[in-house]
Amino acid sequence: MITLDNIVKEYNQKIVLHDISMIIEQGQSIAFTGHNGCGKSTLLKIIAGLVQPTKGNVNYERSFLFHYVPEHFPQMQLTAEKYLFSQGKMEGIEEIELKKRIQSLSQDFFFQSMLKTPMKRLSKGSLQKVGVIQALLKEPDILLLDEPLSGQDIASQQVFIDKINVLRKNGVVILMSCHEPYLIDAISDCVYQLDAGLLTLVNQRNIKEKTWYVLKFTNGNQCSVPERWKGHLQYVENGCILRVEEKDCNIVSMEMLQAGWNLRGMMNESDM
Amino acid sequence: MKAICEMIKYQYKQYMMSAKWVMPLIVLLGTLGMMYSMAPVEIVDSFSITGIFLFVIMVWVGKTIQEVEPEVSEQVMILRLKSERKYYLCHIIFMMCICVVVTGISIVVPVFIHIWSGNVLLSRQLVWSDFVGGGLLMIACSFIGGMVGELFHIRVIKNRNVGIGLTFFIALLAVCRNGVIAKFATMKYILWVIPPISDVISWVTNESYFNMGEVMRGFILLLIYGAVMAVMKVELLRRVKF
Repeated sequence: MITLDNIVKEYNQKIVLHDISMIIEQGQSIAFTGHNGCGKSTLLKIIAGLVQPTKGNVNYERSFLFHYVPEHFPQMQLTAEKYLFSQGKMEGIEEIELKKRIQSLSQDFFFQSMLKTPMKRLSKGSLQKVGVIQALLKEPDILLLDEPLSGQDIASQQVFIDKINVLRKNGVVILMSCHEPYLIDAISDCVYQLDAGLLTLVNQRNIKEKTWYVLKFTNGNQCSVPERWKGHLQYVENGCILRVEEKDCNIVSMEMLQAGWNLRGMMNESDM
Repeated sequence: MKAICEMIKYQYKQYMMSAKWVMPLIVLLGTLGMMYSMAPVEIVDSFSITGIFLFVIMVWVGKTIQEVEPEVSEQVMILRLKSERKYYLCHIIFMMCICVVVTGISIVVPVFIHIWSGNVLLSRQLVWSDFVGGGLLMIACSFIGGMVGELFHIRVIKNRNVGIGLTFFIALLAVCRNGVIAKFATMKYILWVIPPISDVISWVTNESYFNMGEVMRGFILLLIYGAVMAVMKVELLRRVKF
């Protein structure tokens, strides 16, 4: 479907991608992992033809419709509804059908009340939802996801995972740059690691075997969260939620209880 | 075709919401007000000078309009349209629409003042060739201004100040080209690359009525220059990408 031949990308004489070759087949869902700035987003954009590689070629079997969920969706003066409406019309979706789809997707992502808000006033998570909704208005051939869940609430994350899995069943190629193992586990069937410009296929079992739990804590006394768990944290009304690996559940619970939090629930993420 | 129309509508919404059009419009109206504050004025001369002024205004518009659309949003739409050329073509058509609007304003304002002042502003009665000749001249001048303003796009010349400096330099040369060549004849071998705004204006001025032959010659010449600049811009952006 798409072939990458010996792709090299240099920025300011620094090699970001080094001699990368791969074949992307129809229906594949590939995740690219690696530390920040390792070139994941650049690789996605090279595949889409938005960035010119320094050397090498990207060959397409035919002309594909790419949809793109960027890591940081831009703030604009337009309201989210007007923006989404324009994007849908550009795709050739009929007005009545488009209105239905915008309403339905907004409802799914708990975004309906913010449709009439100018995008410059939306929070990062809400802007990210606009980015996701615009990409789901019409089924693309290839969907590029660049850190798609950054800033989104847990319920919306689950909706997102479900929607992407529907697209996978329909044969849409999913290419994702991502840090979150649970998301990779939920939607990817192939994982590549980018490190020092080199792309290597990761043993997927290491990721797939992990089980993730969501722990809910409440707190009335302004307790702090232990530093090492802050990366797993999301504040909700009357408390917080932590998403952790199965092996860390006991230690997280203990440390949070010691910090003054009250455990109010624990669920296997796959059951949510 | 539908996608192109929707894209242009989207650009219109984005531009109107950005308020980047406010200052150029105020300056345009202010200058037209000043230009037509004394009566009587020669129609051909005043419409021709307006053409030069619209060129400058549109250089400004072309420079500032690049900042309206965020880069990420451009990427999303290029992928959606499945073509960079289509995306940039939509933008050029939108610029053309702005040119028609500013030309309309620049013709309506003196006509309005003329009627309002009891038909004493203009030195003679308006005829259709004034609207057609003046309109074509203004559209061509403003279009080429827009293309000059957009040529050194922020993605082509990464240093914003250098881009603005180069744009200003080319705009200045375009306005003074005739004078520079008159003083230094050899410069014509270099300055042929600069849009011949001053040449075209000199062909039509000092006449009581628009010479439609000269107007059409100038209109076509300026459109060719504008089209070449538009193609250069599109191909440069396609080459540098993001």
